Amino acid sequence: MLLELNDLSIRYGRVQAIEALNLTVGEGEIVTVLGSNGAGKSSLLRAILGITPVSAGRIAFDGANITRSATPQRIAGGIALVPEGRRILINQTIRENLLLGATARGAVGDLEPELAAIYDLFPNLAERRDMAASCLSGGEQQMLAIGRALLAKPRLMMLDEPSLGLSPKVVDQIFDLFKRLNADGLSILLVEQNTGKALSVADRGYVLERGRLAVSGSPQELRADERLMRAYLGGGAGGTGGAAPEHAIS
Amino acid sequence: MAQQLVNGLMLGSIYVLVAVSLTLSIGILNFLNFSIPGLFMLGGVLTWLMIKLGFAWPLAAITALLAVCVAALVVERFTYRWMKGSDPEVPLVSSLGFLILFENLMLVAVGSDQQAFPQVFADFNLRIGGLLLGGPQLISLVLSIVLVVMISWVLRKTRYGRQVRAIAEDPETAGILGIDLQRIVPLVFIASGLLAAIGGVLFAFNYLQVSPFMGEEVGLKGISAMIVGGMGNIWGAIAGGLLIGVTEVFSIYFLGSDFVDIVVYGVLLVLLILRPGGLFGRVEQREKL
Repeated sequence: MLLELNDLSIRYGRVQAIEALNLTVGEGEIVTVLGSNGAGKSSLLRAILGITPVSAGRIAFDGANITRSATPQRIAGGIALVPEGRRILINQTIRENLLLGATARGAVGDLEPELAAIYDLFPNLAERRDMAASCLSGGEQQMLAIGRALLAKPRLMMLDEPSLGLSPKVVDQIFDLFKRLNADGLSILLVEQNTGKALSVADRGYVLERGRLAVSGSPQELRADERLMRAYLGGGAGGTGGAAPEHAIS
Repeated sequence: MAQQLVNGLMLGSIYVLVAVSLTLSIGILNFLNFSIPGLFMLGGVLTWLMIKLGFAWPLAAITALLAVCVAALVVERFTYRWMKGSDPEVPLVSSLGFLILFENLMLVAVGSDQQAFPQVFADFNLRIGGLLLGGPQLISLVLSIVLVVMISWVLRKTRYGRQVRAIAEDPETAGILGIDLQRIVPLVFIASGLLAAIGGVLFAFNYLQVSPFMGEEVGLKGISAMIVGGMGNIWGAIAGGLLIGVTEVFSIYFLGSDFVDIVVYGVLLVLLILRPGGLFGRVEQREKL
């Protein structure tokens, strides 16, 4: 297993965000974590990256126990997060944002070939590489956030609500991209409220309810469970529930 | 007139160092570090103390600067890091505590009198046209400009500079990207403390006197320079520092020394009324570096 969580618990003061969760991501898998707001999905990703402390349990990456490792070491080891809301640094240029993605790799030599590969992937970014990132639309910011994470050379890319606030067309584009990156060997842990979209790309899924595992299984199994979909995910099978496109910017 | 302008710029270059020191702290860490005038003073007084103990002046100055690095780290540990997550006023007040602590430690060590600083450079002057340029003053003007330009270059062009600017913009995102705040933040405190301390050393060499309270007036002018220039903006701090230096010298020349503070702080007030965000700042958002 690439990522393995054993009985992982996260608490903020008296609030239990995640309780005794077991979860794995295999090499080359796309795994999705579903659940309504407040189910603890973001806390989970932040704990895997080492931003949020774990109160009990164990996180192993590539066989090594990283439960107490510092964030830069985890990123250097091959985990990258595309955070919720994208968190682009708007006072820096597009190029600088991308370069910051490589921070945890230390003083590596020439990053130009890797930058060129990102610009190939996202021609929109290439044109404006030396402009402040504030000039980007929501979808372009998401692409920049993904490109930035790729500069960390991750083996596991974690994405927190990548579809949030984007137009359906852009959402389709980035999910296509996930499939292509996955085909090239990147493992993906995807947190989404857009259940239908997430299940369409995932190999397996976990559904959280208030920090506990409600059910897990293949996309077919999860889709088939109509009752579950309605209860925990607020939408029917195959629906595009969640992710209200109220901030949609194409 | 031109001579007064030159003198003002040279005095201003000391204020520039203190203002840039303060602006680094507030622009990157959003922390108004009141211990900085104390670090300025430590630079000057410790150099004096070491020379008095018989050390050659370069060794004395270097020892003083190293001591200030340690002091800056102590301040970081017990203000910024210790009080992280508390109200922003708390570290500000405790940094003020460190200013008073440093001043009183030096008061115990050297007494409250102004101490005459030995003239270590043979008096050498440059004459350009009708202008008289004091050697040490010229060196400090050049050194301040070089230091500030260097810092600005590091911030804009290097890997560390990008990381520091990322922390300035959004520390949480910086953490998510793997920027090691535990390592970079102390470096920012050292850089900022060293600038102030170098200002103190240059002040001592130029004006040939030190005292435990020498940081207060300069610190106040440094804070003013930073605010006039626009908080958190390096180029603003430079402009503000030079402006205050020149205003000070001109008002002594034309009105006498009794009016210095009235004119300097009067100009400051008027500028802030006209441009509340400072010369280089924006009103609505505090620009980061």
